[in-house]
Amino acid sequence: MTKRTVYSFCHYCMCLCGTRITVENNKVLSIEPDRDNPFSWRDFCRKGKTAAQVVDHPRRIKTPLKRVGERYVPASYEEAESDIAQRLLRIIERHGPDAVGSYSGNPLGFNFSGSIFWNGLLDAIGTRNRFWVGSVDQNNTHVVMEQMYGTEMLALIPDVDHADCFVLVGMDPAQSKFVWVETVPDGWNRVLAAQRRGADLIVVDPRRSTTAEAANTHVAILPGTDWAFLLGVLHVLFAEKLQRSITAVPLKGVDEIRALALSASLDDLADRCGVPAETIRDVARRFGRAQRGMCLTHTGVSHTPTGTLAEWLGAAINAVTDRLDRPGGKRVERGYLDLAQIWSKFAPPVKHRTRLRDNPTIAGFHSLAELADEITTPGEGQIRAMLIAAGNPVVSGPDGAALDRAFAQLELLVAIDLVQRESHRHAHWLIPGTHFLEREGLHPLFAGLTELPFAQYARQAVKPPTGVKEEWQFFMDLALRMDRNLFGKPGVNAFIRASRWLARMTGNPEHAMNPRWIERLLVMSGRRLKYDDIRKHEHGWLYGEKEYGHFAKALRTPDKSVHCAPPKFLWALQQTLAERSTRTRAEYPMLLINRRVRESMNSWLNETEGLFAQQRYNVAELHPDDAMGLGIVDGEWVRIHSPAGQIELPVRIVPGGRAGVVTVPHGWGSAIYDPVNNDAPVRLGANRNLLIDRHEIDPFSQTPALNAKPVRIERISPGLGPRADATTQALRVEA
Amino acid sequence: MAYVIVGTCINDAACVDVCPVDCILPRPNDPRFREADMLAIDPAACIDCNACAEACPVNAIYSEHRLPQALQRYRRINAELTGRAVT
Amino acid sequence: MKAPSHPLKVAIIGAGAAGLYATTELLRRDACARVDLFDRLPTPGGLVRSGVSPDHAARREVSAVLERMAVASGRFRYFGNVAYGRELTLDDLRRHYHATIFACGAVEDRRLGIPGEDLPGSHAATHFVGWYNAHPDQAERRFDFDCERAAVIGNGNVALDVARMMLLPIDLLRQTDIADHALDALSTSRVREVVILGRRGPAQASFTAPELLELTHLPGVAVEIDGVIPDDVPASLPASQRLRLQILHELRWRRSAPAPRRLILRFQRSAEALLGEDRVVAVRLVENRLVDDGRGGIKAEPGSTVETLEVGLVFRSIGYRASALPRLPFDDSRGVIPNQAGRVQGEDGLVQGLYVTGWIKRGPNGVIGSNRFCARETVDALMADAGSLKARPPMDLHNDLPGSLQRRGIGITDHRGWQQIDRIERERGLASGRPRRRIAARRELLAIAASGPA
Repeated sequence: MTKRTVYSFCHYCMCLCGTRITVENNKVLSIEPDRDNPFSWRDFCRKGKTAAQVVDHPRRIKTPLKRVGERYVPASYEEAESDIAQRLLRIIERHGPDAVGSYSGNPLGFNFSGSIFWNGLLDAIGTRNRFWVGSVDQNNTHVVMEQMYGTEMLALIPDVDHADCFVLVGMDPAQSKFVWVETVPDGWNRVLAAQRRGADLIVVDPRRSTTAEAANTHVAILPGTDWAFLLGVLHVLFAEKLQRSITAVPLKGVDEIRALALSASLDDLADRCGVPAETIRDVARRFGRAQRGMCLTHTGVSHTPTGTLAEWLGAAINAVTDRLDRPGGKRVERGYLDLAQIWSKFAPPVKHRTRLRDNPTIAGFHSLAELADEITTPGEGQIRAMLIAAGNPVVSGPDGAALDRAFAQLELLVAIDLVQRESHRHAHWLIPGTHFLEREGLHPLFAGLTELPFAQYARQAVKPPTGVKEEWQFFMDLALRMDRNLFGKPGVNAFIRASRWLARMTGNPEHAMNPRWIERLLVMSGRRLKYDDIRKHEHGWLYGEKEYGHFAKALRTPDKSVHCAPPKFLWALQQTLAERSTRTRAEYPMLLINRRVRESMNSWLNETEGLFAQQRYNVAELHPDDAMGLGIVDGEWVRIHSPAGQIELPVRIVPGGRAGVVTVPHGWGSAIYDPVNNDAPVRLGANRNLLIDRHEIDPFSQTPALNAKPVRIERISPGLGPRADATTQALRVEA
Repeated sequence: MAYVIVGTCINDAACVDVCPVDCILPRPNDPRFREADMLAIDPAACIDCNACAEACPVNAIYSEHRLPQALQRYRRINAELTGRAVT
Repeated sequence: MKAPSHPLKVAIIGAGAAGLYATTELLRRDACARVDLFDRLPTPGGLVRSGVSPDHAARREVSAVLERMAVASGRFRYFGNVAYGRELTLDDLRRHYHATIFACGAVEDRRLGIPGEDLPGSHAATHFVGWYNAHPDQAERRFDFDCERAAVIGNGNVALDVARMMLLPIDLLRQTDIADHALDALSTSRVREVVILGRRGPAQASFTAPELLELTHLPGVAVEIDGVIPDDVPASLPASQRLRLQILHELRWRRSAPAPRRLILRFQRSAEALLGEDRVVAVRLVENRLVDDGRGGIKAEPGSTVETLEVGLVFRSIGYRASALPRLPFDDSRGVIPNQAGRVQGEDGLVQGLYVTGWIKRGPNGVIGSNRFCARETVDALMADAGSLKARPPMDLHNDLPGSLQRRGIGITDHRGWQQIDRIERERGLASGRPRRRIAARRELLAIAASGPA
């Protein structure tokens, strides 16, 4: 067979880098950025470059595997679907559909067909106990969108090229690129370019990140106090009359938020966030006086117990300084379909409250922080079976040890993934997943999240291993097998069966129900583009220009205005101001925070050989003063304690930033098992989320407090000896 | 814009290992690697990802626009060594 | 189930770039292997610490980076002040380790073999380099800078280092980590001119392009080229070579601003003899012709023109040379331990469990990073042998050699001790506005190492 070139895009993160994939004999030879992609390729990184190594993972699951005792034996889909269906039906019959829980991870979000049919399957089952990865980082933005704009799905896009002032809080785009829920390709380099043209770059982050290093001003804030800093900025904006009236849409609640901001004392806020009042004043003035600008709050903010308040205050700052729907501020990309409308009509998010803590779903899902207790606490509505699609919640969420124990007691655990990960340790069934290089399709939900009007149909680069079903197919077949209507809609299964019959009769597989139909329907619903035209553009299609002026139409608040002071936020902020507590205490004097590493994608790629050419583990970054105080040298191993757990890992001493802070990136320490050959698991680095308390969550977003966690550090290797158990943290386990 | 390797380079190719677009030359398996006085970044292929700068054990890699005045010549040198027309 | 074998224990002798790269490579490749790294000095780094020029200190960072990677593995130990052949014997190593990698480098200088070479005022460049870098073995040396002109014989980067150290403004040197005693001595130096002498032409010189480029902006130093540089650089030459010639060409033809000191690169000159009664006063030079060496290269042949250059100091800088190590084979002509891709080759074939990397393996060539690939080849060989090494575990695998050395009263500097030295050097530097102030006295180094927090 000859070499061929496939143009597609990388599905690991929202950068959506266009890729040029060279393929021979169903093998990927190389993946490069597609420099002819009109939208995105400049953020290309080693994740995309090494994607084929994940396809060819030596421990890949290539057939359904059934647990028999301590081993797994290969089985057919027929056996798998029949066994899983029977067991699920029995559980539903005895305990109701909510006894079947589910969790989906980030990769499923990038798999449109998979995620649609996943929801279809969950609707078929009828469970409302749905958990997802969004609850460990981005939930706060959904909550704030809902409160301020009337829909959980209205991501405002930073207009980086035209900004004169950036206030970036809790984000490190030099590593993570300019993605959040939305994506601005090459955004970080464009911010740097704006800075070279004179724009002011202010970075608020406890650690001296690469981003912070590039800033005009780096504010090394006390972790977990972004709300106080941002409220301080609002205070100064109002006190010095730097606010402006908004031009694009009506604002409501300005008086209330002004009153609250002015009632707070700047010195008190400064004291709380460990930033001099003078600095806050300076930042507020620079931002307020800048012609055009934006304040952005990302993961560093959302991972705190006050993440929603801070997200709201950041959004309010933008609102009262007229940064919405304005050049250089944040704007709406209308896309080729109405995301919020689809969201509410086509796939209405499930409304449900958790049994134990009575928390509502956010964007249709519950918080991972609650999952363990929902499984282990007996009573009506207890979760007894779990389906996990492309997820590793034991590592991604707080207190993985508790979740691992919970999973151990499930009657049924089904994991759909490429490999057996930490969270799948107790799985009764392992179902093969597919890699994005093996799938094709359009992701219509990205419309409106991309900075520019852009659409790209992903092409399949290689075929999945023989016999492996794509996720959507497995989900659909399982629903059929359970004889419960996909999407919970009467007649759907009959329709699917009829379409399959037609396909058989005509010999045209396209006639059988498949995700392309849904993609096509969604594109049609937007009445802007033709599905076939999208497919024709192999490098992707930039189908329009950047436009302003779509915000008003996109707003979903009943009064069509932006709500700057949602009452429950106001109330909570007043409560927060009334309290006075520091997070650290004598026993746990340091604060643990998180960071991004460009090459790492949460918990699911770190074992890829070629991804981390040098350092295949995570380290604890310490300030030199703290290292000195603890007598720790660079590279030395330490043990980090919190009330929830402890981990061991090496230290890196990093100058700059705030003392008293220890940074450990998440996503490491997941086992990769070998269900076929039963070889020893590979485990790289340490899972820092074991230190996190699952009960401490942001009350609005229900996001666990992965940041600003009080911890204690101790040295473990004094003197000559190496760590006795160093090999348990081995980089690569000998076969 | 691109990244630029300067004369401090010790040719240990840590940067080559992390580059997502293979734009650092010569590669260790290239016979020219042994003779190279320093490694260089192809400015036309570089995507400004900063990975090489993070990996370099001797801080010999700069973003073009943060290149100190005294090292400006290395912009041209990187282009020349990678066979690119000098801009 | 297979019975688990004891993880590989490997000793590496020599903590220079070669040993450090071998350490990190081995720890990365074998996730269970343990490495004990030994050095004869209390401090690791080898020539990265004591060879790299103080005005190029950025390059020293590599050794800290590699150490950090090694320590972070949790399977690495460092033992300084332990020399192979002094405290450490081959039997010791064979009894305690599955394998030993020798990475001792090449520390001797190559001699010129000309009359007058041993006159006072004639020095090995390597001694000078060690001296200004506070190498404990060179700290006691004396160099007399009470002369106007010095000559450096040899055409490589070390020659340039030596020249720069004598020519750079003392205020600039004061901002570096140059040894205190060198700073003192150089501050009263009368040297105003350094002549670097190369046997062959500019096209054959082995200065690397970045070092040449540096000459275009040396503060307070005018650079002159005495040699023929082709106007057209042939496109067939390797890119680096072309760049070198381009820069030499620029140096040759640009008009330098008047400067208090001069650096002259003279080509096609061989030193025939060093002249002087009780010290060097001049060097007799012969002008060379360049002829085809019949192997595709160019060689220098002495012509008839002879001249005498008055100098008060001469440094020979024609390369390093390794010396034989006790009980190990040695190829005297090549100055290396004979080996096959890193496996030590004895008279009766390969020697089980012994490996080499770095200059002792390939000869003194390449740059710091070359050692990474040299180490990779050796570690490849070791990993291929791992099965058979583990099948015959060493007798005293479970006894700790460093522990027993300590019981024998040998003052070992471990990694923590070295960190203490490092910290003190930096602190002292900070106090005087310098990146670090290096400690040259072995006794002081050992005392500081022992004083650190436990």
